[in-house]
Amino acid sequence: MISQFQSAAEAVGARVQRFDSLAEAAACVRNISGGSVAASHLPDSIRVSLEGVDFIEPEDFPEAKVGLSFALAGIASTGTLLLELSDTAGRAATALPLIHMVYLRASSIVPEMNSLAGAIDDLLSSRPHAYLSLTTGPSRTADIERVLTIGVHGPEELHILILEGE
Amino acid sequence: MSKKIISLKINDSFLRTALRNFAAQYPSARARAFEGDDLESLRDRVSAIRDNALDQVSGLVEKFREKAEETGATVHLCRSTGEALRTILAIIREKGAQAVVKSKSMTSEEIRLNPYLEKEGILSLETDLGEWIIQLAGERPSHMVLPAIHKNREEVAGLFSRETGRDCLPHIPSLVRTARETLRHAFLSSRVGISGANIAIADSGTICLATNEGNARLVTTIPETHIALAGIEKIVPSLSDAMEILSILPKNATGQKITSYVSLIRGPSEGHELHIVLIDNGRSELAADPRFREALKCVKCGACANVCPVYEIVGGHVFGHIYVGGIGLILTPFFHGMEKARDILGLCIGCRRCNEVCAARIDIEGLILDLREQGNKFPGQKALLGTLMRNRSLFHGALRAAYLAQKPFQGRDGRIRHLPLVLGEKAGNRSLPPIAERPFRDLARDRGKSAPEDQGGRERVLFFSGCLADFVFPEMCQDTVESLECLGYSVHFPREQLCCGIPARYSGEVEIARDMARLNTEILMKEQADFVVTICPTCATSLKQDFPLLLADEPEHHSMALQLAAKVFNFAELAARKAKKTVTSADVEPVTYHDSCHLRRGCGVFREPRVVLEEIAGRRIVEMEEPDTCCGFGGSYAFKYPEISREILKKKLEAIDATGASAVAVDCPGCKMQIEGGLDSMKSRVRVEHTATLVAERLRGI
Repeated sequence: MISQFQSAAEAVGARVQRFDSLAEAAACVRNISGGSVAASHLPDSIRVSLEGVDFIEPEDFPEAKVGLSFALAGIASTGTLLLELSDTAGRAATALPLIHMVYLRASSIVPEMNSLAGAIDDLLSSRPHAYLSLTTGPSRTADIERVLTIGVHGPEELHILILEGE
Repeated sequence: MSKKIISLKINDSFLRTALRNFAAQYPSARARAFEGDDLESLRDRVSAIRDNALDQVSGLVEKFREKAEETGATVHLCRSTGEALRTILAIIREKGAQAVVKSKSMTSEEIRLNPYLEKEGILSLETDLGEWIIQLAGERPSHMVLPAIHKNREEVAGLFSRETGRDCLPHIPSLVRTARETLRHAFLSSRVGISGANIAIADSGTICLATNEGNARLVTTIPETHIALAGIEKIVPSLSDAMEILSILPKNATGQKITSYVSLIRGPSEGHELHIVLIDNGRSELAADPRFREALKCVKCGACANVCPVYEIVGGHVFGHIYVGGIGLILTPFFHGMEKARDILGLCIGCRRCNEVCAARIDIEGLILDLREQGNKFPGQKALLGTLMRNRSLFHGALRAAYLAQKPFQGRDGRIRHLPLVLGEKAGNRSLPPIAERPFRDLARDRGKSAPEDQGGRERVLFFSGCLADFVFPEMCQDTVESLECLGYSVHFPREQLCCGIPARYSGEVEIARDMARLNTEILMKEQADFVVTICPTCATSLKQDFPLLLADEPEHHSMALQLAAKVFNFAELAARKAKKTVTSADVEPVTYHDSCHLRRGCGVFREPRVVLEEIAGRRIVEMEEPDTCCGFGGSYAFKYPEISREILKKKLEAIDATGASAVAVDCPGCKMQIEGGLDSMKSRVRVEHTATLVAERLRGI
């Protein structure tokens, strides 16, 4: 299922890498971001693994090169990520920068959209307000002459960091 | 619809190429997107979900309001366009905003939000790339999903140069980058963002947006106030309903499995405000209308435009008003008035390709026909059609008079090529076959007793020829009778038979069509018969499908019409019952086959004619590209919109030519007339024959 997810995500222009440890994934983030990222509400383990990386203040997100987030699940059939972005700063981090990097646990990949119906319903109803995003590949348009062009108002690059170990 | 605008669009070579390429690529892209899905049962489910939602629309509005307000959102239910506009303006004013950023919303187009806000001194900036392009050009969307499909990169570069004051090159990636850079500041500085909503979910008060560019995420994230617009029909009971709709929408729209972003928004984020403006604008009334409520099942995928042969020629600025494509023709009278709709309702050629792809199984073509009844009547039409068509001898007398009147215009082969100026234009560069000196009804009378009528054991068939075959192609009728007799049927032609009523129905004259249905039902049911055969699939759909509907309120005739419907078959269906593969096709030149719209989609028949051609007529078939795309005839359409008809025909002729076949088989006299006329003016030697003729030729030879 991981490979199915990977090929579906790559087919829509995402870049997928698989890691055995958080440390290896963190090295990849450092490498691509040059050491500073826009992010909000990352799981503690990921934040700890990124020791030394500069977390930009939300008012400076518009200038950030890389936004970082954590997906709750992946959908193998379409290469889609389920992100819970109820916090506006966390959402802006995935919407403003040219590069969006997302952590995804291999164990949270499900076969298809319908497998997530229950989880999405729970996420919507369990909090006072919610903003969920199903993200599939980078921002795209075909509005001029139907020529597919990647990167309009959202990220031009979507990097998915699949965590297989731990 | 003004002829000038139509010919402007026909001669817009960029538009034509863009739409043609899209039409060519769409079917395979769509098929790939649906790979692994049971598409037909998905369409059934979406249709049921939409039906169920419309049944309880007022309850869903209340439920949605209650659930959304629990989250801190404010829901505004607006009955009219004016109320919606004033509500939106008041929110913007309250926030002290001079400018707002917008993501794509067809509902905002419906209520003409941008011009209204502009008049009130507020800049409403479209941020979807296509919408921004047409906003800069001062135009309206020409497609629901691809709003700027009619613009090329040069035009976009010109618009962007004017807007930015920089020299923008016609290079698509740089143009896209320019849009990103230019609009970014607006996202960051606007206090109010406006979006539409693809779906609203009642049980959690959630709205759902499906987008690709990422602008809707910015519109709903950066400004502190988010206004979401949705028609009340967009509300479904639960998330599972929404997921089914999401699983068909992008695939049917552009052949994309899922859009880049699907956002589910429940309530305002912390420190933000969310206003949901629900718009009625006639929807409640429409939802309560037993016939036309179906139109509200639309999920706005635009597939009806993607497959429409007329849309492919003229685009959405002609084929629609604000909502475009087949569904646009239907929604326009309800949302924008019959005045705006009257002209465009006539543009549908009736090929039913839209019905075949509609995500919610809306009978788009049927609704258009019924709306014509309400709106598309011109003075004199009723009297002419009514008097002529109900009175057999008068109608047939007029056709006989036409036989004499056409003489001066006939060429040596009898075809009509040079009509006087006005009529010549109507013929649209096709030659026309003449009206026959002796219609089939006369030949049938003379032939009378010699036929192997009622021979023991033979199944008895009544032949309903249809007017075109009767008066223009009598030999096609003879071929039908001979073929069926050779195949073991006994055939009888009831001479009292009348026009099937389709021309009246297509012109919106339902009362006349109903009279024809009643009279023909009586005439055809008077005689004992196992089958009624037609050689015109338009007559077949009329007899089989329209008669019972037209006579629904007349119990006795309705039950007769149902019995009649069960007996009606196209020639190919009856012939195929006798196919035995007794002939070889090696020595005969191959034919190509054109599927008539009303045979393929009206009757669901496409295998039988191929079986008959191969196994009875002994012909090998070389298939053409898109054999089931309309030939552009559409009955009176070819004379009402000759320019459009000719352009659709052109594509068909190219497909035929590419096969190298020496003959085209068809199962419809209208398609024969259209294609033959086009081939004749190209001086082509390719013959066009009804399947019945090719069968008769073979059987005579045996």
